[in-house]
Amino acid sequence: MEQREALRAAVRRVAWGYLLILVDINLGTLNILPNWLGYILIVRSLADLKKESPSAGLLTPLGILLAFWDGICWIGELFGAAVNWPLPQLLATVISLYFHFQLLTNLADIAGRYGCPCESKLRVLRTVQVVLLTVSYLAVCWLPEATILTVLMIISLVVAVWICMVLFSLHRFLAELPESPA
Amino acid sequence: MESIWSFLLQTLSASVTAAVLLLLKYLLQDKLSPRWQYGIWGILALRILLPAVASRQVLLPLPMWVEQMKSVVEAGLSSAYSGPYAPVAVGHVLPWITDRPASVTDWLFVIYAAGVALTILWYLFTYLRLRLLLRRGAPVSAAAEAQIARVAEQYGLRACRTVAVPGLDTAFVCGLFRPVLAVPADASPDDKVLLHELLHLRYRDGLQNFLWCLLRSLHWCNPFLQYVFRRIGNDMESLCDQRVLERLEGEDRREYGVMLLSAASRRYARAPGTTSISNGGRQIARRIEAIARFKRYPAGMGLVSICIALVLLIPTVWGMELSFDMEDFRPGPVSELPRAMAASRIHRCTTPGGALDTYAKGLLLQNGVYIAAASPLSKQAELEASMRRSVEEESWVAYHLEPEQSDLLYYREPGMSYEVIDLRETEDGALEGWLVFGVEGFRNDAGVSGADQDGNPISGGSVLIPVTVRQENGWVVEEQGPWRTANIPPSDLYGSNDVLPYERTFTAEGEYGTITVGERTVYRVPAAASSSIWGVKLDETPFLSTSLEFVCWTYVNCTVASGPTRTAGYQLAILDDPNDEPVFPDVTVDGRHSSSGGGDWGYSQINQDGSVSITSGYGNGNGADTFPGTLPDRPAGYVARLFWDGELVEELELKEVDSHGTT
Repeated sequence: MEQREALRAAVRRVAWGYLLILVDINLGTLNILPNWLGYILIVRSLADLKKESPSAGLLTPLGILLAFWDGICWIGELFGAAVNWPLPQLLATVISLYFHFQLLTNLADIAGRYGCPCESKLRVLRTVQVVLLTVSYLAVCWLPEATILTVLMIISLVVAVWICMVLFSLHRFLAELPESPA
Repeated sequence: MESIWSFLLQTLSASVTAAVLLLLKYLLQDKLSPRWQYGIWGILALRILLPAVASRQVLLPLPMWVEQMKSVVEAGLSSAYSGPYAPVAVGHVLPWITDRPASVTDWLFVIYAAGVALTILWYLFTYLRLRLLLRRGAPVSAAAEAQIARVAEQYGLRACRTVAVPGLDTAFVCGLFRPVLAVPADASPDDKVLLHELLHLRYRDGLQNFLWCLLRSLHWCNPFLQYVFRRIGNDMESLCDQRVLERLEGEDRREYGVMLLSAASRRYARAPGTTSISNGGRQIARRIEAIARFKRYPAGMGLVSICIALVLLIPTVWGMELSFDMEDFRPGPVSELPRAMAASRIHRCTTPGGALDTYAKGLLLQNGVYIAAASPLSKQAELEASMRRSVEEESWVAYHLEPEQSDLLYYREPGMSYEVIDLRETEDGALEGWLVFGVEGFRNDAGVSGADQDGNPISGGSVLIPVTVRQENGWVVEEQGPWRTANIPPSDLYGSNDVLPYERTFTAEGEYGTITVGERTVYRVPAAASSSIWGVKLDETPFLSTSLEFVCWTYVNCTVASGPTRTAGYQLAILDDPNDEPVFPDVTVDGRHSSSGGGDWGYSQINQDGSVSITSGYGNGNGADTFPGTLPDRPAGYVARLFWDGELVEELELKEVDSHGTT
């Protein structure tokens, strides 16, 4: 029962973490939904997720790295100094591709174990998200001023909102799940 | 590669790529399977096989660093393979000696090239020696052959010719296209060892090993890359271990790990095209760690593995546009001059408009680095020498025009920088025209501005420079003659004037009058690049790749013979093709007003003395030019209609004439 409660709390933190990561609201140079906070929330959840899906534990060091890098970028933007270091940016892009794909896979595994109907949605969303991130990266490199970037941005926003909705619905499903008898 | 600098750029680019891959592999070692861990080295192979490009960077501005270093080192040498002002170019990835070495850097390159050749020869020698040894190997016993056939059949693999070699510690496969499996003559190898070797055979690891050896030979003197290649070999073995474990079950997997441990201290065959289960104690330790992670790799990571490879491909293989700061082009202390000149060699103008803009601003701001970026590389030495001389006199880097040139531009008009007039294509594909600066006046010996050279007041003047724009390491500008001056502002140069003949002139003389059409094109940097409508603010940085907007000005002059009583006029049809039917403007030329005109039509009242002259001009067409493309389309010809008192009296076909009036 405690484990079930810990799992629900972990999924809730992951859902909020994704909201912080995928949605940005800027007041001037201040992003009031900082990504680094989202990663911290997710990292805090990994220990509990690991009990249900062991490979989730592999994400802890990557989550810490991503939180650290986003923190540096956030501070830089706050003071109007854009951080433009190609090597860390590339590493962060690659790591985040793996991080989000693996995390959503773990959450899909957990959803499947408890019979949540959002398992298939999570698997589809993780595939769509990783492809979208890759295509967006390639498009920025090759076609920096093309209209397709705007289209990709809109699609990314839709997918981001959808991921958050599915994660919150997973949390609700787990919260409403009857406790298994002792 | 034809110089030590091109090798340096190439090997540093490969090293950066390898470092990034090593770092990522470390972060993802327990997350992505040995297939990805080995396969990702394909990116390094691509990087090594593709020549580095000076205008693109692999995460670090290596081309700038190498170019800077080269210019400093080569300044005191007389290299036959490169020079301080010849930009580093890799061309192809194989070393190529083009001449006898003449400097220390040349000899370094010769030593490098010799090292590549010797390394490849050594690899060939060791391979052939091993093949000879195997040729003398005895056929295996019937029992051993049966064992190999059984293992092959059990796992669906193909066997190959097998020989037994006395004194061999462990089995190995050798050969690129007709591989041979060598087994110890003294002992029967374990089934799992045979499985390992047959899997090497199945995936042509011998051929891959040989290719890696060739790439390794190109960077024989780079210790970091030599370490990386050892890691690649180990990752190949780890992948083979993974494949073995996928085919074994239960206790067999544990025994495989134990067997690998026991192979740590054995000798093993080392030659290109050779794979062996044993590859050294240190490497085996890594493989044991990888084996321990077997089945703990997250499943279903195939898609993200591919995406990661795609994302890595661009910055590490293709490279990103070499970024630069315009401050790179404005050196202050002399220590910044080598970097600035290196920037001018690497960041060349990529459009004719960019070259003209950069060159013009170089003249206006007296910035030698801007001029260097838009000039042939042969001018670099002279420009740098001039700037170094100024350091001795003024303590910072400065560039000065010749005194008479500097005087001409002294009273340049603020906000009105320059224009390019009458650009036309030459036979060899270059462009020639006039670079025109507007000035408020000229500074004469008395220091009077707003006046001509003789001190007479003028309302603006122009400085005209004949230029050619052509392609040479990008687009470059060269002056084609002395600077000229005119006591009229640039806008007055568009129409008929004594300074510049029209770019093209068409004329026709008929019974009722004469009509002449003059054309001129004027080019400017697009307004979006500046806050003023025309031209660019003087403190704007050069746009190495800018386009130019153009306006085609057409001036019409019509004189009629005496005859009309009230008005005379014309209509002009512009022909895009000589065979086109002329289409005249739908305007009545009847002189209800004193005079009027729309450029392609006009009329005027008769003067008291019976003469009439109609002059009008209009601009036609504007928009970014299509360089590198074609200059704006020009009319193929004109047809004019003359009107007396509103009545059509004559239709004339105009012919193009040269500056002497000859058709």
